[in-house]
Amino acid sequence: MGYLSLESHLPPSHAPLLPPGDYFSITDTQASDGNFLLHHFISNYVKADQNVVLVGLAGILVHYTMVGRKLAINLATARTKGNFYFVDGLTQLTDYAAPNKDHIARPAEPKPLASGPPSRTIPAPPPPIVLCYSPKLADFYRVLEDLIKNTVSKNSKGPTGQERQLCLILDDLSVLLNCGWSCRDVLALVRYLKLLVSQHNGTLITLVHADGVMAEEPSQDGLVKGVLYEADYILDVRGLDSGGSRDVHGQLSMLHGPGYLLRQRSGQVKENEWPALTLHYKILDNNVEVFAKGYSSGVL
Amino acid sequence: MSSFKKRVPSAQASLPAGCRLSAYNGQVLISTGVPSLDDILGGGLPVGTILLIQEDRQTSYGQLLLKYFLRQGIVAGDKCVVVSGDERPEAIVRSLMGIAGEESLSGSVQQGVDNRDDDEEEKANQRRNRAKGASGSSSALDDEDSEQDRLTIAWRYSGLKKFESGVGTRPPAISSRVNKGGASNNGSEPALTPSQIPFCEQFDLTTRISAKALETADTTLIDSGELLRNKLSDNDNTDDSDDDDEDEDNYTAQRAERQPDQYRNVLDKIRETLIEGGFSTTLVKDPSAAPAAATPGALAERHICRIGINSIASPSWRSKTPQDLYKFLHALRGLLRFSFGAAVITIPAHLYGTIDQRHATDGSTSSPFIHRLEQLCDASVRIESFAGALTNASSAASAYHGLFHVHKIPVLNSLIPSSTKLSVLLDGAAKGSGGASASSNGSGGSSKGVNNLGFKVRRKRFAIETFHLPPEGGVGQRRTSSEPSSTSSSLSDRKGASGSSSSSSSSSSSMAPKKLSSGTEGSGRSRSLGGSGNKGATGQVDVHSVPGASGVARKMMGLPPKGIQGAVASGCSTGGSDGQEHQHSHAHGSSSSSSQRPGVNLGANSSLLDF
Amino acid sequence: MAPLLEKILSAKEVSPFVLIKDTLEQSGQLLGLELLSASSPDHTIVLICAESAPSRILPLIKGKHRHVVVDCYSNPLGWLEADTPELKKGQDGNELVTVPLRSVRKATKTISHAISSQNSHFTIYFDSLSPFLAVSVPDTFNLIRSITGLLTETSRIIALHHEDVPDAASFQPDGSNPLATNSLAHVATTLITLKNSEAIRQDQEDLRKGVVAAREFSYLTVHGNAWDSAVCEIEHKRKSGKVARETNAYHLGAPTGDLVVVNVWDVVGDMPDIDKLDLEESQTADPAANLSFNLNLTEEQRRAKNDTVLPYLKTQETSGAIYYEPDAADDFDDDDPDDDLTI
Repeated sequence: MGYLSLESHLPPSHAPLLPPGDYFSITDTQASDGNFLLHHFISNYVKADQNVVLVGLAGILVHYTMVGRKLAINLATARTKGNFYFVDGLTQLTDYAAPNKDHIARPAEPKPLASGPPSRTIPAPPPPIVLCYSPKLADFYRVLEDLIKNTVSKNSKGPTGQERQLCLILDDLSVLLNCGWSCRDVLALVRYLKLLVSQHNGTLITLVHADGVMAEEPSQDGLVKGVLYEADYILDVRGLDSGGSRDVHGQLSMLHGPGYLLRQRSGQVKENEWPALTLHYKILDNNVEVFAKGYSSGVL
Repeated sequence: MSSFKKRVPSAQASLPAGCRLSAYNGQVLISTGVPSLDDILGGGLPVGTILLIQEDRQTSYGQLLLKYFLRQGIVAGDKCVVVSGDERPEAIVRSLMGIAGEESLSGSVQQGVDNRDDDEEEKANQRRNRAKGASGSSSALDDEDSEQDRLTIAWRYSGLKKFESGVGTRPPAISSRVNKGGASNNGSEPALTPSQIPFCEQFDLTTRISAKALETADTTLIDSGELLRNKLSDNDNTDDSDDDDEDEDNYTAQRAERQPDQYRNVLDKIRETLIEGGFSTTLVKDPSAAPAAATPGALAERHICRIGINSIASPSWRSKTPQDLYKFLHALRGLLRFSFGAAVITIPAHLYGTIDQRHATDGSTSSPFIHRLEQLCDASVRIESFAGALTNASSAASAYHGLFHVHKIPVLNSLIPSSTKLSVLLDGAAKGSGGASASSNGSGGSSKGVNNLGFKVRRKRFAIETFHLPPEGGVGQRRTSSEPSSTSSSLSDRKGASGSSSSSSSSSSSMAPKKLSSGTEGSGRSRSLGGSGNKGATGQVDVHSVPGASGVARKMMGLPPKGIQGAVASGCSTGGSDGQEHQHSHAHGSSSSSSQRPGVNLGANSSLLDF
Repeated sequence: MAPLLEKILSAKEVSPFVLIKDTLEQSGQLLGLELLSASSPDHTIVLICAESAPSRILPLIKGKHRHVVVDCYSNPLGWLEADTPELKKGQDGNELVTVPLRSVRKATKTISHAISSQNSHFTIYFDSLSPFLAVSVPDTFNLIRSITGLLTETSRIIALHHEDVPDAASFQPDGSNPLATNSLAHVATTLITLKNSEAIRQDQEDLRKGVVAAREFSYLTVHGNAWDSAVCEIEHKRKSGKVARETNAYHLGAPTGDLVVVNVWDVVGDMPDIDKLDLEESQTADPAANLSFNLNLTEEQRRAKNDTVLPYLKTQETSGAIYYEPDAADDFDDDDPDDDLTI
């Protein structure tokens, strides 16, 4: 299970999973990385034997696997079982990165050194899908569409026949902007993916950096705002207003965006189902503590 | 990925030379050549990551760090890829420092270097000999030691071209797997067996790298400004310090003639090097051949590819599209993640966006461009030396050469950065020094420590330390007066000047309110120095040191968070635009006067402010 | 007198183009849909969705209108196989057409076609103009103009615009182009600016205290998009040329409850804008108040006082003069007072 203390602050309707068809947007800042939230969702879905598609635009598979271990999930097994799909959006995303195909080692799958030197072999899960450079962002959508429609959907029924939920995670939208696609394209990608997963009983989660400094740039500003207008649920991670602290690593806010307002209006969500509030958090080795402001264990 | 293992002895044995495993998450680390920087990064720079160093405008400390990184690579027998546009890469390599102990190659120990520095060197050598064969000792950072050895003057005369100030190696704070090598291996590092290669060697900035070491060094030089260089012929052989700013105009003028798509070219060359040298785990020269790195034994002979990029995005770099550098970094990161390589990149961040003095001190890079680059790197630090600070800022903080801001530290394969667990500088040592102050790097969050860091450059050591006020009364002439009233630091005078009634104000008539040219007018009214006959002179010093200190005061204070500023300010009735400055100086002053003991630490100040 | 907002809602005030300007902090969608629902039942509602799925919006429109849905949402850049840009009857009697937003011109054609093919009065609703503006600012104005041309007298356009979202022009700032926000306000007959009530409350608190609390930058605060209320600043241009300005607010009893227009102070408490504050201060500073003795006059006393003949009164009727003859006792100084000057 992910972080227990966070669980009670997420929408309860499908707990520990997220409501299907919805879009969760995570915004973070440089001072406080929101990546830890992704691990929560990954581990919840994998634990519950649901499907996860993770697009690593900033992080590599090893990172998620290693952290998964700390959270007591085995992503390698999940990959073999077809519950967990990793899409590599790091190594070959841009035209800069596209290497000469002749150089790609055929037999071995990537063995990143950061994991420590590999020395024993286990039946390997299928190699990750790699997003190869294309000038059109639409092609990335097609890759993901193909993956979800044709591969993941084969695994969409659980052992008892119930339909599995899907969780599609993009771990850093800002990378797409940095790599030269326009704000409009990236927002469109989000829109398409949102529609795509909602057809497959799925939830979309994206992370985007929302630093104040960056708001000066129209494209960055437009991306964050666009994402926030699009989102059903917004989780915002940022440093403490008062600076750093040993016992509080930052604050986590559940925010109501325009989308949430509409859903409330239509009665889809109850009045106090998911209140907007700000919490504090502290990241530990294998857990994250989320607590009300001023209730840090260092204080009490 | 199934190939993860817990650290086991066999895995350790198969580590590449000069590497060690992180005690926290088992990452392979290499040293940056600066022990204290290693400490901040969590024991070393994780293989597969990028460290971005933001240079400051006036000095080349950023490049110095880069040189440390490369030099350590040569010691370890690593492949070094040097990329530079402003200077020739060869010049950078040739100007690398020598190893401490292999004395007298260039032998030009400058006059004025404190003798104690040499003493220390002796000590260090003894320590090294003692430690020979044993695992690195883990003695704590001996700050008291360094306090005594401080050089206050020499570096200013050095013209910044050579670094005479001492830099010594501290034993790594966390245990090193790799044994210390012999200290007297003159330039023949590669001859060491891998297990003898020190994780972090001790260098001497007064010496140059020996010819022998240069010969054996495995370097690849990429001159990113090649075309330009051909046009400009020479002019830069050894001048490796300050030319960023001087040559800017030339570069701009010649811009059009440079090759297009520079970043891509550089990246292609780096990739080529990685593939040629077999550093990449995914890309091989000949895919049909069996992967070379399969056997653990081969790892022991393996080296790391160190990529050092000097002043990226300086005017001698040209981008075709605005995204060039972003793409470059993203691709480089993707490449390194699956390679036995790591990169250190320096960037003249001050060229992008005006860093307003006032805002610069809260540590935020004001330019969105730089901010985006930081997003794409794994670690990011910023150097802010006092050399260029207004007036004589350095007098108040002469113990340090500048501030060291940590913006981002690597978080790999774990939820929290390993340095949060391991770093003495960022976190651990703070317990002794007065608790959590707002870190000067702005909204220091999860990845940030709670300490303010400053750096000192000495002959054998580039040291980053927790930044604190120098001991009361120990900082020079302005505190020489014997009256207790006058030892209440000059900064507390500012309290009186800034409006509140200074209780003990026997305001001397001799020191009329004095306008200061330094921009802190009105606040530099010096209070009396009692009846000391020498008061005119001392008073003068006092006045001058105030603005300097005030310029730094904020930095030293680490800019208390906004809410807290109010609390600090509540006692003093300042208003107007530079109220902030007053508040800080006030805080500074009150603390130093209230706690009249040496070694008053800013951490202690700020812990006051913490709520 | 009923609040202006209520008159606009109930269509007592004619306004062919209502523009709702909102921000991330307080969405105007609720108010917009309320306006839309209030349109007269014989109108055909043309719903142009660019930001929210039509399936989200449609249930929120009350009343038994005929709906024509232009869906610019589900296929914004045409990455999916595009349908023919023809109106199709849905099962629920609504007509639906999907248009990619890659080019506003093409969308304009489809939308105009959808409107002109009908023979009715219309209420046209843009759930947001911002996606259009993000493609092209001039083209969006063309779109609005061409729609306006097709409309009958009683028809109405309701459009939302997020003023905080950068439009296409803001990527290449150019002083010679009009700002989209201002231009929209220019063509609109009614401009409603949505404000978050909590933010206004805080502003007032600051105003009262005289201290502005420093707030960290964030795109959205916890108070953002409260369902229960919002403050609306209305600027309504009447046909006569008069401009009415008012600040109203709306209030909801429950998230799905009815929208009630209220006075702004019902929502945010008293509204001491800065002018009023100054006024109050000068009024309260009456020195004659709260004294232990009486400084005031009765009417009779005042009359008596005014009737008193004072010695100098007479001289005021003629012009006065001063005659002076020096006598011996006068200390006459014959030094030239200016002899030190070289005159």
